[in-house]
Amino acid sequence: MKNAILRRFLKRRVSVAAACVLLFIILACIIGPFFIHTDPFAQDLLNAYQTPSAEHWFGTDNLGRDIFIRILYGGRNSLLISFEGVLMGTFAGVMLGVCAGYFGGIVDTVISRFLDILLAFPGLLLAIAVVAVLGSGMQNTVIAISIFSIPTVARMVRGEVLTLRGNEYIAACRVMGEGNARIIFIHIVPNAVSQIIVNVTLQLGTAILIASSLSFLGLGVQPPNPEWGSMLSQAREVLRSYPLQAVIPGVAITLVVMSFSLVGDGLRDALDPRLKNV
Amino acid sequence: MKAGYERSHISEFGGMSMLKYIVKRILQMIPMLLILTLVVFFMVRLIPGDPVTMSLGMGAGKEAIAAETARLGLDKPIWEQYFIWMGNLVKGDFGTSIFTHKSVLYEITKRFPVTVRLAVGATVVSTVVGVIFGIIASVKRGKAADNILMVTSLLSVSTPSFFLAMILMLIFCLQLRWFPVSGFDTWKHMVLPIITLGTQEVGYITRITRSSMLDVLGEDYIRTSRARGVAEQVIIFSHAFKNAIIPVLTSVGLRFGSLLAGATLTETVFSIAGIGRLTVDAVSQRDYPLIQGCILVLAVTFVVVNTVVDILYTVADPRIKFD
Repeated sequence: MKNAILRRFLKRRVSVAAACVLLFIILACIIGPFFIHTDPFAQDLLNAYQTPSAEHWFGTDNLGRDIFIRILYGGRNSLLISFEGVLMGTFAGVMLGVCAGYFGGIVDTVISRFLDILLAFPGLLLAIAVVAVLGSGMQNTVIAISIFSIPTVARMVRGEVLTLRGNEYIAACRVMGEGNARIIFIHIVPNAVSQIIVNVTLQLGTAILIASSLSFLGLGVQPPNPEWGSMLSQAREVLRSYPLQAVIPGVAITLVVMSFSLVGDGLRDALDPRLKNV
Repeated sequence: MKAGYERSHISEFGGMSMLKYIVKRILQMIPMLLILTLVVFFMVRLIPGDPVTMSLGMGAGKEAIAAETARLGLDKPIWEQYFIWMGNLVKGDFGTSIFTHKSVLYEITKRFPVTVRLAVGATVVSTVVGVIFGIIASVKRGKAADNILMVTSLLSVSTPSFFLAMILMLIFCLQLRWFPVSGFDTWKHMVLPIITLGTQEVGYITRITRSSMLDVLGEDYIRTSRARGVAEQVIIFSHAFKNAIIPVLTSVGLRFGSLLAGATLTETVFSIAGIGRLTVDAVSQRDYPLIQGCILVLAVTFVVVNTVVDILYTVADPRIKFD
């Protein structure tokens, strides 16, 4: 079973390549700072605006800070925010979806209305609204992302649970005296796992976009803390004279978002060949 | 002849239930809008910090604080405050901006049309381009053109719009000097922001059009037409396209609200005074009445547009039953 999934995934070369790129970037962001001891905050105005060299791989920014090390630390922040946010949101979404689908009735109505409200805020606006209440900063960006990713997964899981609930084996479990929690977590949730994984992967790409957008708008991670979106925001001031400072974080975001999307598509095809999109 | 008879029969039969359906959908929207006002009202109450000191500044005396509290109605129970606020909303009074001391409605009505213009422009351009791309991709399925278009669309949805905006600005405004750097007054100002906002949409629309066309092109009646020797162009544009376009236009409509919110980033880079920028500035300045107004207007627009699109979709596609 597992081998078949892996084989199907490996067949999609683009997704494999994307997974490699992603793995490389993630590992670089995690491990890199252990080996390169450049301070991401150290300003050196005499050496500002340097083009890439052996000493500064990606050059230096308008304050003379090493762009390469800032990209690594910035990537740590961007990726951490997205992973934390999406995982928290997915957990909450799965719980809500399971409860709505399994218990039905008033529970379903309340949860579904709640999801409707979340969905009534178009994309970025929901994140902005959350930050408006909680204030800017890294932790609040995580919360904004997690709230943002609740409704999609909750709806999906609810739908899945609704179809599974009617199955005979669930009725059999109940007859045998199994409790709700056991039925839900042993017999129902595992059936939705592959869909949840695919959803998480695709959401991670969106989360990176939202997190960097918030930071770009000055509502997320605050400077001088490096984050890909806020690095782009700082680069705006020197766009004319030193475009490199914008290009590097911009390409980093694009690359990661694209890779998540390709890996997600690959996983979907591998985990559930029926869902193959044309 | 027979088909014509059937169609008129259906629409006559559907006329009444269609109207019923439309009324029902509009009525369904009302509780949603009420909940939205509740959320937006209480959202701002959750924000730590005191609106009175925000409005008066730190050094205000006790009497001034009491007077301001009474003026803002903050001494009343919270439910009463909500109903007063709602009553004012209905009268078109959204409160006064703490920062500019102008009415919130004035600020919004000044900024909203700019964003709408930007979003409509982006929607029109991206729909035309995306649909053409999608049709080409579906007809050339698996060939080089299809692959190139799919890569392009992936790239366009993955590039953050603020990055694209900066690149376009760098090339066309700063290097080539074809367009002005900021503002949104003449068509020259509008070109780059519309391209920026539209690019992301092009990716989505290309994909949706492609898969919708492929669905339709796989149908039996298309095969029959081919077997009967109908010209390929006629099949693609007259038979397949007509059926494939409905779901495409629906998703275009459903994305319009997100486009309004997403315009914030484009507005920021090109210094356009739209509602997105207004919202972000209000959040940074903690201008609560303005935050409330902006978020409410954007969310209500989103809900209303989605309902209208939903209704149009159901009306446009006779296969869907009204229930």
